[in-house]
Amino acid sequence: MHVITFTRKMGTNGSEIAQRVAGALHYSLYDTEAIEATAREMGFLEDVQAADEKALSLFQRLFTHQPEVHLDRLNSVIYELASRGNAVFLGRGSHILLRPLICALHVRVTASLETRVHNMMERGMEKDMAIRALHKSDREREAFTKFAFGADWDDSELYDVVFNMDHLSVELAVHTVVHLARSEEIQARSIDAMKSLEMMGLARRAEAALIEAGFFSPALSVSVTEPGKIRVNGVMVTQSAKDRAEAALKRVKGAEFIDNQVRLAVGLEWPQ
Amino acid sequence: MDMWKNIGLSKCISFIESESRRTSKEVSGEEAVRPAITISRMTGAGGYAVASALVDYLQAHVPSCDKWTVFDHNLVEKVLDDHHIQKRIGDFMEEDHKSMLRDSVEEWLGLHPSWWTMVQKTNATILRLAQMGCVILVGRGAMVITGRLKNVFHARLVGSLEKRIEYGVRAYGVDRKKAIDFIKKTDEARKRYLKDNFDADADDALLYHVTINTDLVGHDEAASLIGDAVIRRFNLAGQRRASGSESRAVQR
Repeated sequence: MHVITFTRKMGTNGSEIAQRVAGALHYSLYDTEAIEATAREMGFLEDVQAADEKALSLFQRLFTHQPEVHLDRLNSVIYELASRGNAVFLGRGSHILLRPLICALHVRVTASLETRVHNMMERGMEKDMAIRALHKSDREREAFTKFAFGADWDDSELYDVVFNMDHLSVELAVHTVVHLARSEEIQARSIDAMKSLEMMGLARRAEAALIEAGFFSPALSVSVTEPGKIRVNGVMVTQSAKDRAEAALKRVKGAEFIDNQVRLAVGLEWPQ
Repeated sequence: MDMWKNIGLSKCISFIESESRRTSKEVSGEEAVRPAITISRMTGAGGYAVASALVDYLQAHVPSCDKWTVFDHNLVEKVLDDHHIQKRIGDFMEEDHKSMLRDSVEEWLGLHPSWWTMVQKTNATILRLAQMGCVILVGRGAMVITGRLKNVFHARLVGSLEKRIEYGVRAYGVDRKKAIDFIKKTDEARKRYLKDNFDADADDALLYHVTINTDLVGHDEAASLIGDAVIRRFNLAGQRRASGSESRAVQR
């Protein structure tokens, strides 16, 4: 089971490279459309569309928990798709989400502004419009990566290979990734990744379900100790709250057993 | 793998001697392009190991390009030799300079040329070596100096601090603390060298054709990735099975 993630700046031909790599390796390509199709199957389409690599408003970041729910669900969709194996992902923070899996290869495609403007103009866009679109896209993707993962989009250490398309052809980039993906060293990585992915996806769905059920307390923590088994720890003030949390977790797709370790704080009342 | 087996002053001298025997036709540019490679690296990301493995890879896959030669530390020796400067000045030309005042005083006393002069001479040597081709230039801002040459491929090796510390401990047999100190000090020195002399940032991905993270991509794999990209970029594939001087014809 192998996964390749592509992160690209707009106007670098990164999408074309990803498509051609997927084609050459006979892997499934998960671009925006494919990710949304899976999100629809899982009932998370609105969440995934809301977490669309754009910067959030200050209001959204400070006064609602909705962004966290959207992100948790986007993450669970990425994990679900990756667990199917042999996949190429395009964007959506997949390089960071799948970083813990040593079977994943992370590729970044970049280029100078001049090259990117040139590429956009070749597609029929006016120069001024192209420059504005590129700056907007850079700002949004950078802010999304910062907000969602606390990471610097341009940090080379987040990727296994970074291509500068100023002087490289699409063919060369495609060939290089395919060559690397087929190497014995990379092929030897995978193994237990599938199981890990299922568990990571379940944990994210469980966290989102708790937030949506109104449990924002940082005193609650969720973990998936083995496939299908969700453990919840923390402190609550009433038995009914503890039961409601468990009920919310039982409704999560893939949950088979809830290990409810929440303790009741006797005599503690919510402040009025 | 013995990462030092393709690296050393004797190999550089042998390369330079063989270059001096090239015919005027070859040197005048009628001969096809001979590629050169620059490798910029974070300390402990495997610069020497990758350079050495890259020599093996290219020698095996492009035999027509005679001998591939790595220039790293020995670049300084080459500069000193080129410019008839005393060997002991090599110590002064580490990839860093700490005190402009000390530099000025020593220059005034006639102990060595100014730092600026030495950097200029190093740059000129790097440029000349890159133009000759079939060289792998490690460090010293070679990617900036040769940035405009069409026959040069630029690679950068990066890695997480933790993995680089592990590599330092394993490859050089030093303890963890020494490895951390060395890595941090050398990284800072290299960044300063680039900033001071070229106003460039080593972390700028646009300075390179490809940046490879050796945390997960092994040294041999990184070498094969760079080697293969060079073969494709300069269309050297047709030469793979060729041999002898006739096989030097590289398609442009």
